Amino acid sequence: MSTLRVAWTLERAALRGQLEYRLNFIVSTFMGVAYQGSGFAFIYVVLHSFHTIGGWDFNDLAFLYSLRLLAHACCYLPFNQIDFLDVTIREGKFDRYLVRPMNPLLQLMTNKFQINAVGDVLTASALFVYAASIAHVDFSPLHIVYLVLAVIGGALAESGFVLAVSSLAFRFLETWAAAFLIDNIYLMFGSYPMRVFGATTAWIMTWIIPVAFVAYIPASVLLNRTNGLHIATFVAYGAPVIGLLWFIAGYQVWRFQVRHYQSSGS
Amino acid sequence: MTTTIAPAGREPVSRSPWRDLPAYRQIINSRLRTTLAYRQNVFFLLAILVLQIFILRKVWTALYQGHTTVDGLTLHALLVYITLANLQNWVLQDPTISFYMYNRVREGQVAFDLVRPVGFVPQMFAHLVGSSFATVIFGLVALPFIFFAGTLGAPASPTALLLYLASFVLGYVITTLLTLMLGMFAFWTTEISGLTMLYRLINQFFAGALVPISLFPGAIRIIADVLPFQATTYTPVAIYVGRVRGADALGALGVQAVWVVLLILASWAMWRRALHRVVVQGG
Repeated sequence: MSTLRVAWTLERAALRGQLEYRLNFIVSTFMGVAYQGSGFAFIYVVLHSFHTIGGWDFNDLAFLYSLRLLAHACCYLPFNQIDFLDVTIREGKFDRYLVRPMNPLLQLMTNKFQINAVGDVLTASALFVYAASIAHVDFSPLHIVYLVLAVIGGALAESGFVLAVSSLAFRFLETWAAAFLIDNIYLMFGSYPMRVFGATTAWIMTWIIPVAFVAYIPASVLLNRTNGLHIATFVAYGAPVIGLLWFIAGYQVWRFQVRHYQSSGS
Repeated sequence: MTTTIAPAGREPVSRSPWRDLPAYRQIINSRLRTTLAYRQNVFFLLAILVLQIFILRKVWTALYQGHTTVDGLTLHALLVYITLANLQNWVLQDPTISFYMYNRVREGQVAFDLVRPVGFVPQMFAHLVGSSFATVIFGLVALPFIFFAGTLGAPASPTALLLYLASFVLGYVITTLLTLMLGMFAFWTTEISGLTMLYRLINQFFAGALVPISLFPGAIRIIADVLPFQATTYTPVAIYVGRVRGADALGALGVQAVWVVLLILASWAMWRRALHRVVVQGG
């Protein structure tokens, strides 16, 4: 518990540090909104001339998109500093994390506060409130519990995968572009009904990279569209568990890779 | 500081522009080699491009279900548009000079760039040309994958091809001027990473790389029309696939030419002001 308190204090200090640069704070927040909103702008514009994508109308797609954003924000808010792991290693700064009496991953996470995460959270919340009001979702108590668990599970599925890929930095030293690719895969493939991409891609995005579990599968459950899914219904209801398993696997990869850390020697 | 540096940056006496050619060639060459040396990351960025084209092809194909032509474009023409627009946008959206200017200003090295006998702005152009050569090489490597992921096709007509080439050159100039101006922001804020990312997103959307501008609804269409981004990607590619042709195509080239003039004036004015803002950190 005291570890969490220290982590929380570090995170707050990191936020205060970033608030010093006011112009960059505003620009970065706005950038977070633009980055996450640009995919939605695409959906909004094309559905003006066409009416459905793969049988999903604007309301359904807005709900799917907002669910993905919500999960992504829950992943990105705590884990954004993973993106800078390679720089930290190259500059030999990881040494410090190893000699301090706290989990190195927690230290990395609280190193700096990434401002555009605020933009992500704002966009996600606003879009979710909007989408939930227009989509035909039956908010029964069971569905609400599933929704909360699915968002957490989606965040864990994404974090686990990102953690595994980023920890390759302990061997390859420069991985930001690989991480950027993964981020884009989640952003692009996660926002549409999987059937649009064909069976092979849908399978890869479900079982090799857990993209479908982040939002598409939970959204199908909540919108009563499970009969259109490419997986069994009971697996769809188990999406949060699969997210948790991915996170555990990702953390194990991290622990394994940390052992290969070699200081930069400077 | 500023008053001593500024005059040296511009041409002191009338001299033949050809005299500086070896200097530019040197910059182009070293920039080309630098970019090629850091190719490891470029492959991941190219993978993003290929995936984006793949996804757009799948999504647009799903959208076209039950339609044969939309807004005068068949599915095939639209897919050629999307593929080419993304490829071209990737080539044009080169942040090299804005990042370079940002780093030079932040680290104070811009002072050395300014006292060189070759003007600062031409130096930046030379950097961009070197980087563009590298981009073309990477683009050729990616072309087979793009062929597989997207749809490549012949231009609508020989005239369309000629007009496309002219329009592409104008688009290249417009993009260069925009990136130059983006880089000049470094003289004011010293932190432009957020701004650069924002620019990339706005540019991609309003250039028409995801959706042809002609399909934008209402107010967004008006915004797109008054911004310069549509002149960089939409105009040339829409000409290529035959969506814009004849007198409309010539009119679109005219709009591009107007943007070139406006942006030259704007960047010149901005540069004059930027020079007076040179504050060398710790110098």
